[in-house]
Amino acid sequence: MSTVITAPRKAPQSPLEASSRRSRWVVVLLLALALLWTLVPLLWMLLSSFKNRADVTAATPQLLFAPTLDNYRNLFSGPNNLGPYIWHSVLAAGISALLAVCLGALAGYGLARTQMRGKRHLAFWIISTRMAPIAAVVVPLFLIFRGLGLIDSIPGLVLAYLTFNLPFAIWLMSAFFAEVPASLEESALVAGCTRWQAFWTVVLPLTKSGLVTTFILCLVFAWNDYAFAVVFSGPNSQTLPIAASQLVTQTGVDWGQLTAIGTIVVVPMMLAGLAVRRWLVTGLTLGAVTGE
Amino acid sequence: MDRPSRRDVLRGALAAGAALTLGGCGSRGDAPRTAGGDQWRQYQGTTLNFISENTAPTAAIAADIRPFTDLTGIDVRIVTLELTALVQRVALDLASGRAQYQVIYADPYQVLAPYQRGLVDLRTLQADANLPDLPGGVADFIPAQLDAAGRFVDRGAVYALPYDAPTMIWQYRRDLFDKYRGRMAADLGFDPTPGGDRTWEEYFRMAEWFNKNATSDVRYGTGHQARQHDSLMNDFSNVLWSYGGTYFDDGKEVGRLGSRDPGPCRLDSDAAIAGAEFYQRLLGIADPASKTWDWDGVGAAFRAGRLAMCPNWHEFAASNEQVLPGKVGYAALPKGPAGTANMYGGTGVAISANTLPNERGAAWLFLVWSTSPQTQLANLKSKAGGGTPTRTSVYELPEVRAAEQRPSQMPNMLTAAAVRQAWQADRIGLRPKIPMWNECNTAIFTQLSRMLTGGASPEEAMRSIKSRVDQIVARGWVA
Repeated sequence: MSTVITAPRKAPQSPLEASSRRSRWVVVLLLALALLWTLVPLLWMLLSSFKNRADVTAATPQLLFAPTLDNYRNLFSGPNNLGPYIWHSVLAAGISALLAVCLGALAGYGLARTQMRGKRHLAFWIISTRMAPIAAVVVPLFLIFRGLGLIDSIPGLVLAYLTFNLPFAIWLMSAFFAEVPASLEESALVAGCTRWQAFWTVVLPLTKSGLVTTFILCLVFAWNDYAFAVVFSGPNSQTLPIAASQLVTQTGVDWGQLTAIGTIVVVPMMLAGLAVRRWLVTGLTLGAVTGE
Repeated sequence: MDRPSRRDVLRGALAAGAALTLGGCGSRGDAPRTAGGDQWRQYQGTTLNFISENTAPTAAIAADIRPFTDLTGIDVRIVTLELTALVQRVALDLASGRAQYQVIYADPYQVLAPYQRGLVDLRTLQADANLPDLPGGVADFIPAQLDAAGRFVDRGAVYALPYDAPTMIWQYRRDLFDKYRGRMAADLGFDPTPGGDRTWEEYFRMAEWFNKNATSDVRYGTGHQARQHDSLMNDFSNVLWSYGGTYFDDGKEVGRLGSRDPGPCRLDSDAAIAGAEFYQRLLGIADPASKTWDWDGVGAAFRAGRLAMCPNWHEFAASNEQVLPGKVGYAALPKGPAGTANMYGGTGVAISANTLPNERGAAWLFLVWSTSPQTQLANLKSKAGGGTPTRTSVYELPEVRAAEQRPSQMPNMLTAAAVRQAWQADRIGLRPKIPMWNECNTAIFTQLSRMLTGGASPEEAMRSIKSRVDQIVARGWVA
């Protein structure tokens, strides 16, 4: 007599499980779409930067083509050498982000710890300056900078970037400091620390992820800025986004070089983001203390 | 020593801030000047800043600025920006009372008309015996261009010297016209050779013929720069004018010398509406991608072999010749019931009125040099771009004449016969030179775009533009 082995019958799916599986698929689908939305333009830009002019402007997009480094080579040779633009961007964005973090940490700490009337209004006023449209502030700032001789200088750009980075840094850092229990500082004070020592040795290390997050975000904002750079920079201080705009000319757009510059602009910020992604995620979710 | 109090620190910071402010606000020194001797070297050691759109002549000058520096000892730093950004930067620079940019690429419609009071009347420099004169004098510039790019309202004053001269002409695949001429003539009943004697109605029929009969060679007969952008106004205006439409009364004068108060907009006239109706019909058979193209898009599509013909700026010839050598022909645009018009998009170079006296002199040297016949000839030959000359004498040079025929070392010169026709006083297309043009232009291309996408009939679009333009003009201009 033969024995018939049958597979164990699956327990029927409860409606709750089926619904949960469906939701998971929807989430996966949405994430895939978001990924496509984000990555396709970047990939297109990267591919185009390795194409020659004919391939870039071909009526149908070419996925298979003979790659060339000409676009990158052309960026670093000839009268519009990209070197100075990169250097200006590094200096202006780097110094501005660093200053924003330093000053933002001090001001944010003050905001988080001070007990005073109207503190919430003050905090809102600080961040509201970040919300002002650039057009509203650019003329008075231009006139002030002109008076101070700061137009077309790296210090001028640093200050310009600070106008939008500092409020953001103060706001973000104050949220991180608010997460640190005041009892820790009180213990440090009882142990003989001065206020500054308690801040420097106890509180600041606990907000490391906040500092990194703030620095990276400020760096990205300043690095990508075009609107302020157009107004405040000049022959001695033009940055990468300005170099990119110069390729849009009256008689055409140099798509090959434009996408090469785009790649040069995007890649360092992506690498910086990846290098500190652990802190960035912790920081952006404001889990500064518990997440560490 | 006592530690400084918080009050002391604050006081010190305030004092430092005040010192910095006062130092910064101090008077700025003029450029040095060497008295006597060589006119061209009197400002040696000066640095000039030139702000320009990234145009062909500026690219050529940037690549070959050395002769000027050797001649004058003046260092020129060139900043190129996209036009909108340039206008914003120039407006701020003029308003600040101190010139960071001594030399300005003065677009007639976005810089010269609105900010003419911030520019130097160049006659004062031309009359200065200590400064070199313009070789060939002002009269050597093509007259219509000198008025359009250099003057504003006042017939005498010159605020800018014509520097570049892009003009819209008819660009077509000569090889395809050669191939199909006989069949086209038989089918259409007229000689299809492109030229200023053709009508827009014939252009339409030729485009339609290519759509039906030459699909193995090109996908569409015609393509246009009909994106919601300045390009759409340019493309449409050629048709509008040839149908007898006009933006304002006395449109030719408003285009040539400009006006601060042009009166009511006339786009609601029967002629303007007829022009808009034809334009809508033409775009109906054009490459559908036209509605996404500016001049660069249509130029790229033409070079990619997608189109048999298109209206576009003549300075695209150099790129055409690189990709389709010998296969492209150039002609003046077709005519309509009221004549013909070829949109002119030239620009001048000007000097900021905020310059100090010696800076102004040094800037004049640059203007004289950069618009001189020998520099324009060098630009024509430049590998960095070039543009086309704005001086009559350059077009008469034997080597430039020779370059009008293939094989040409100056491919933009292959358009010379077409642009010579296009620049005639009765054919040149000059958009209104009014201070508030930028805003009017936005209203125009926005409504035209609505018309092309089916959101408004030609009549509704024209009436809507008229109404908006009248509102904008009624506000006036105070700068």
